[in-house]
Amino acid sequence: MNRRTFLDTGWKALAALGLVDFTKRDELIIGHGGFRYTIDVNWGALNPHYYPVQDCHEMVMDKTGRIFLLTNHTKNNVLIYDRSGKLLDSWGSTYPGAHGLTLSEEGGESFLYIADNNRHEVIKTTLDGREVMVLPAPLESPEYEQAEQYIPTETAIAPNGDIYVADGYGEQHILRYSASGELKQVFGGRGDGEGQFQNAHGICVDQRDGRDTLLITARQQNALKRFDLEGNHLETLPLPGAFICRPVIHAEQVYLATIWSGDGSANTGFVSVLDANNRLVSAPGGATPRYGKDGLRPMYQALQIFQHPHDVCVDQDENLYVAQWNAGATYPIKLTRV
Amino acid sequence: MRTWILFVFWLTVPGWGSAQIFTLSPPQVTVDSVFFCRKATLTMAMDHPGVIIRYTRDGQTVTASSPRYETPLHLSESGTIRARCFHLDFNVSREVEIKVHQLDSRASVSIRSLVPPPHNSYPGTGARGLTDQIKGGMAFRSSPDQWTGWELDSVQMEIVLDESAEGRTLRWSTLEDPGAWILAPDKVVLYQNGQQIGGWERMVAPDLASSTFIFPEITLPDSLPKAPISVTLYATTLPAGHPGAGRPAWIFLDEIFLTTQ
Repeated sequence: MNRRTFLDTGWKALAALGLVDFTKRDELIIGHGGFRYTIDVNWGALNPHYYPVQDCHEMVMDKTGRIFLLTNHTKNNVLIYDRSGKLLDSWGSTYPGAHGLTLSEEGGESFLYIADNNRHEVIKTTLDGREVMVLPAPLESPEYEQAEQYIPTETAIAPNGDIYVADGYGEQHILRYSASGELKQVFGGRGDGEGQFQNAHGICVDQRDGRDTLLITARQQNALKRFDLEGNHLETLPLPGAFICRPVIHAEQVYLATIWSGDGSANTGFVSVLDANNRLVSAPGGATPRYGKDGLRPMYQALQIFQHPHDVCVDQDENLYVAQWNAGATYPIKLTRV
Repeated sequence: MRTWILFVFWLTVPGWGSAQIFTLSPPQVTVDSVFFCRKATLTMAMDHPGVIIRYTRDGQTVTASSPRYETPLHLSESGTIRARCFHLDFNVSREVEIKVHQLDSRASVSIRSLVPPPHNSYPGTGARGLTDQIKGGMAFRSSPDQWTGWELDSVQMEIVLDESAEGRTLRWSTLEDPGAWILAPDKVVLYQNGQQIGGWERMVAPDLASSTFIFPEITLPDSLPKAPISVTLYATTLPAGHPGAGRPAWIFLDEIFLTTQ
């Protein structure tokens, strides 16, 4: 009996005796309901000497399947991977506060919008890094006296081309620009009112119900807030215990990197998956989501898989790529849907 | 034969054979009131299949043989509760600790002055908030009204106690969050009529990797003249290895209270 035959026989014998559960021992599966995943903590890992990251803030996938990772390391602000985690390209050295990354299809061409915390600007680029427009701090608005008040975190592009910028680390306003960069409207602002924010961190356009509305995270308030495109507050969706970064819509689901949970302590993150009715149906790395008469029971982390998830990118097979802030300069973690 | 034995051992030891063993998060421990007069109820939770929570009520380290949590704990005296999560497929969680304090309902503390006033960013609700018997959370940004912060070498306050405080223990609820440059005081000293009547010094160096609450305590003399007491809290210097090494840490106060023990 050679070694291979010996091992194969051993596995089968023990399995027949019920002593071994191959699935359980071979691979941990996390998540809940129909959204369960295996974990690859080494996806996208590179030699940090050549391709370093600091915080891995956000990720998007283009229509050819390339994954763009935005980091605030100015040696290579943008790292471009294929789905296997192989590095394809890199660019960018002028975005020290690289934070928000949004992909937009405009007239058959793809563009990226980079929200830079340190530059107090949003920069529109082509996919190969050529800058085509810069939205500076909105000093034409009476809400802002100096650029330092404006710390944009995320951008969303409406079907008519209007650009919505969330000032999530600044004055908590949502700024609406025309496609050419003219400031059209300012709404939101810091506060606890329905139409206000504490950490308006992420924003996207939600078209799932046939309307165009804005979904905006109020991270410190553990809630998603919905607005129409004119800036009118429509509803608030509470997610108690979940400090959600940005909504990412794929099919009927909303995916949200959840940077902290529970009382907001460090290293307590997980990933949140909402269904078409905006109910939390899976929390990979988190406790089992449960609803009672008061709504969602407060969420918290169950397994220390993630430290501080900051964004989720979803591919066509509904696998997730999780970028993390303040996680020891590590590369994204891939969750493969099972 | 030796290979076969090792192979069986590898398969049957929990967790072996997995690509990576992850660590459980600590249980969620909540208490209806950290400060209580008669009783408090403490609950623990970790809603993940197969997880067992174990705990101690005497401040001892939690082990695999510690009592298993089944139902809420009813507490009627001050104490330290520790808990951890256990599961065959995962590393044991870190320990979570919560201290509860039975207040002396017959004695009260009132604050006459805080010098200098708190930092503009963390004013809390002034002297009132320091005696409201409401505990601030570990995430101080989520309960800003409960925490009062200073970025100074020392803070002074003048307090008045009634007669029944004699022989009682005076405690301060302070935050230690090294990542936010906040540490419990290095030293607390009480003076009355120019005489030092008590003091406390921290005995353990800050753990830069974790946040916690620290409760400096001073037992009051059995005989206490009717005169204001001057309290000085001295900031801890941020230690080597911290980005702010050499600078005074922030002092964050949440509550001043009296207990019988």
